[in-house]
Amino acid sequence: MQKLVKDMLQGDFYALSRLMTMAEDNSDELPEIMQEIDRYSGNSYRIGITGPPGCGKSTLIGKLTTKIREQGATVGIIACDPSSPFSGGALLGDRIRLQSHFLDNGVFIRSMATRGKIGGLSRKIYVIARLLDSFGKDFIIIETVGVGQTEVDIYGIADTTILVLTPMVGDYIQAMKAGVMEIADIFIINKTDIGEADVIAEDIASVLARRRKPGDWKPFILKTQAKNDVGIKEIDEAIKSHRKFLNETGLASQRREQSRKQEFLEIIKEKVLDQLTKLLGEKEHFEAYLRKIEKGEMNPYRACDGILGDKRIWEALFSKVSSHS
Amino acid sequence: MGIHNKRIKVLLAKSDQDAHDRGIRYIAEVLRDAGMEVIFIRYRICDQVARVALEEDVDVIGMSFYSSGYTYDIPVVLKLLNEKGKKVKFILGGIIPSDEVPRLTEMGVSGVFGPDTPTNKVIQCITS
Repeated sequence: MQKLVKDMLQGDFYALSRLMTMAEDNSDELPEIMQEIDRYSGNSYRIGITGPPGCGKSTLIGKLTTKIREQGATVGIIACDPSSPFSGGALLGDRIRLQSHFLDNGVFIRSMATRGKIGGLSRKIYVIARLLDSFGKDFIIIETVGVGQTEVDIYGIADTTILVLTPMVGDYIQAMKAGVMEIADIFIINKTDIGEADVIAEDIASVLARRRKPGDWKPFILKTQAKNDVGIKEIDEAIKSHRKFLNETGLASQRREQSRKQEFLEIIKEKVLDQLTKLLGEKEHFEAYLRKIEKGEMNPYRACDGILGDKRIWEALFSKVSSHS
Repeated sequence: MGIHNKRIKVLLAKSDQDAHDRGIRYIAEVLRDAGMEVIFIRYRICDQVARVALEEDVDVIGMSFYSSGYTYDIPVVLKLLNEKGKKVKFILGGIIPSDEVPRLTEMGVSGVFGPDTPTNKVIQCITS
């Protein structure tokens, strides 16, 4: 593992890839890997790109990446797609639009399935981002599908969050005052060649104006045609502008602090939940609770109190978690 | 079924020049329904296939040919992967003449699955 990390830090992209696989598959060596790369991370600027499917996120990311590369900076792209809750499989189709970057050594692209995690992002997204960071990528672009109120996890990890819409999503705007509309720093109305964007732009502007307090960041609302290279320069400038704002107001470090806290909570929640769920399936006396709940003989709230009030589960959980650490 | 357990990662690739992609898209869905994580790409040159396979650290590569591209593309992809020490299971689809199969098998191809192949054969080949 140490050799892999060393190779990765020296620029071997396949070593990076293998470390990412180890992270995704929950390798036992993960804490060690994180420890090794810690001092090399913290330098990348993270851009989150979300929005309903079909609005051109991937195409836009491709064009933005070209723009960033023209300026001599390097990019890591993480594209998240949902796993089927039934089969567990996933179709990771975002990178098909990024073909022009496949052989550019300044660009690293990784597709990730959400693997059961809700919130729009994949498990271990923080780890993958950190790996890209320590690998030396100047920018990390994280793409995720965001259709509603719950897909807001992108806010926890991104420095700048971008919501991509099209002129066809008028109803979406009406329905979506909460959630993903509240977290975007830049709004993009893409594919303006297929419909009228002004009404949507005004709608968004008025919602934002009502919410805005003095001193707050004023989100950009941009109209683009990513496929036709219209508006890309403006997106690049908007991101630069937001980054400047974050630095000048001290919000940058505040957001990073929150992001680190969010990352930690994710890790600890996942670890405890995983072990707890396994325990409930393994230990006989807890299985009895589950069976009663399934049959409707006990209500789940009483069962929960019963289980959490039972000292044995905490002892079992402790020994499980500490044996894994 | 632990939804966050290790998954088989598959790269399905078809040349830009090859318009007949219904078969490979169908296989993509079949494999997803079988619990695999499937990345679908088109490529201009086959070097892109090797690069993507390495970046995504896939377990399986499936390439589909309705023209003779496989003669050149497959050895190149295999060579690029070998250089990095990456092992994958290589499967083929599309129209591949049956007399080519022995040579391809020797090169390292695990299965050739033309049109009308029962999809469970593909899944079996991957998971064996």
